[in-house]
Amino acid sequence: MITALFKRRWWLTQNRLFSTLGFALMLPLLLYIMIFMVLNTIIGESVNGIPYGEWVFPGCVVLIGAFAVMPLLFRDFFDLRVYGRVLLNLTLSPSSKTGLIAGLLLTSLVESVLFSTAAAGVLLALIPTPFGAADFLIMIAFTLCFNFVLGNMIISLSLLIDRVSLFMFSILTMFIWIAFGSGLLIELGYYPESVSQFLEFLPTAVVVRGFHSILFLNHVDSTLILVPIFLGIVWTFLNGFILKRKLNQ
Amino acid sequence: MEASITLKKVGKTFGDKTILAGLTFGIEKGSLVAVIGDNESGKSTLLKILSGLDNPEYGSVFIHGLDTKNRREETRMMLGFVPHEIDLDPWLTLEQNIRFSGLLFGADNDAITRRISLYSRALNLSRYLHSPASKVSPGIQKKTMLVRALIHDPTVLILDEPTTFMDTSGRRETWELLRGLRKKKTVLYVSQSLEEVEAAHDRIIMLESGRVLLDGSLDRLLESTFEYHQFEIEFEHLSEELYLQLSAVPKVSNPSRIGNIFHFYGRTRHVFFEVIRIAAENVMNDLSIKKLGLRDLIDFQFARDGLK
Repeated sequence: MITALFKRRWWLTQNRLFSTLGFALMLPLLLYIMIFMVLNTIIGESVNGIPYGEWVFPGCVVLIGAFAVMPLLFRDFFDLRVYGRVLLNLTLSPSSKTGLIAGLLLTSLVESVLFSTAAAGVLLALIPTPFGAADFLIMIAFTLCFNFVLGNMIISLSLLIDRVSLFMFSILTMFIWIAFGSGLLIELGYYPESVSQFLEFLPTAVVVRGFHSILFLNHVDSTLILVPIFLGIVWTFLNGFILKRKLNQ
Repeated sequence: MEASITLKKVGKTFGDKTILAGLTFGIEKGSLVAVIGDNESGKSTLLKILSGLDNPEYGSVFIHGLDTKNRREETRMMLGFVPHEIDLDPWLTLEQNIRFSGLLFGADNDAITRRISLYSRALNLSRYLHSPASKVSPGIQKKTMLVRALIHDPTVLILDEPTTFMDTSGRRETWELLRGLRKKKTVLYVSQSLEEVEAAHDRIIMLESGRVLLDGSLDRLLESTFEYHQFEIEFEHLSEELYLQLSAVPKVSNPSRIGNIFHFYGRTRHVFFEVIRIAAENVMNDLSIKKLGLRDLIDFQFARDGLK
């Protein structure tokens, strides 16, 4: 099954290569203009005194990955489901529902990681950073971890909602929360204490905390890594159950 | 004969409405079976349950003796399904859509290539294989869905309106292929085209309100109605008075008129002579007598009553 899903992903990427490449170029450029040129001037440096441009770079890489995974999962689990295409046919294959969810999620994660790697390259050409190859590997690993949690969240929304308007509203709300409430672009320490205490325990923020802790404090907090992975695994099974219930299969 | 598909008291309700009312029947291996019926008769629900897209509320479905609920993986490998609606990925080419399905079912690449070549030639599809699904006509997409259903070499094919959207040649190619698969695969299909059903079937199952109303070959279904005929008399002028007079003749069933044409059914030929006798003083332009067909069985209660 997994070979089939990877081949499909590859074919889909091939068939829309130019739009994908355009997106991969445009997104880091936009982030450079919106984040580095504007927020850098406003914020200056992080709570711990790290220059903002340096502090926000890994967050941008993760955010690009998040941007990349959203449309892939939206298409597979909402668009194609609501319009009675592909997903229904997929569920007739001999694979389990959880297997299908995990397979589609995995292939989307791989594509999003490749996308964010390419976009990080473009971003790197625009902004000088002190990060080395090992740091980039950490960024990619955390992008995977972050998208594992985020992807499951998108899949749940896509399966539970049937109306396009409600889905778009939910996705936009989630996008605002991901961008500004996960600690990717704005450090949670800038929020009032009561808000930041709430935000920092949300799953995507936990991933970002673990990520920043390694990159900026050279401290590996295994809880901050293992908890989101465990949550993602449980969530994948839950999504398999939701799909089964939704399709009454 | 060995059963390929067996239903045991399969039922489905939606709120207060019964969609399928405890269906029990078997379908012989290698046969070509048509399921017909009005809208809301339960045809599509039956196909969805057989294909595994939906679950029955009660009862069991067996494919080659295996319970589809307990032996899901094995039974799904035996099934190929073509839904009514187009469900191809519009961003993939036709060939990629087919290959993807083959790989998903674990078929090896060589077998996939061989079957794509075989079936796309039979359906005159080869020149479209590299076109994106969104760029070809719905009829071509429907053909692709049939090849996709066949790609893992299933033994049972479940087809919901297999020739919808197709032109005449497309329909002919599709039925030629399906008739060629007879004896090798069990084919169960739903169709609204009664001409197609009359031309391609070993057995016809007619559903009404989730129940099997008629079951058998067309000859067998029409066997007990052999005395029934439909008659048409075209008058120079069919007055309302004459129409009412003719309609009142005993044993004239379902009388109707279209302009000056009087149309009715009769169980014996004598009724025709009786009508002619009453109408003798009027100028008649044309007469026709036909045996009953599948359309009559579906449309007219009296024809079905003849089967009881």
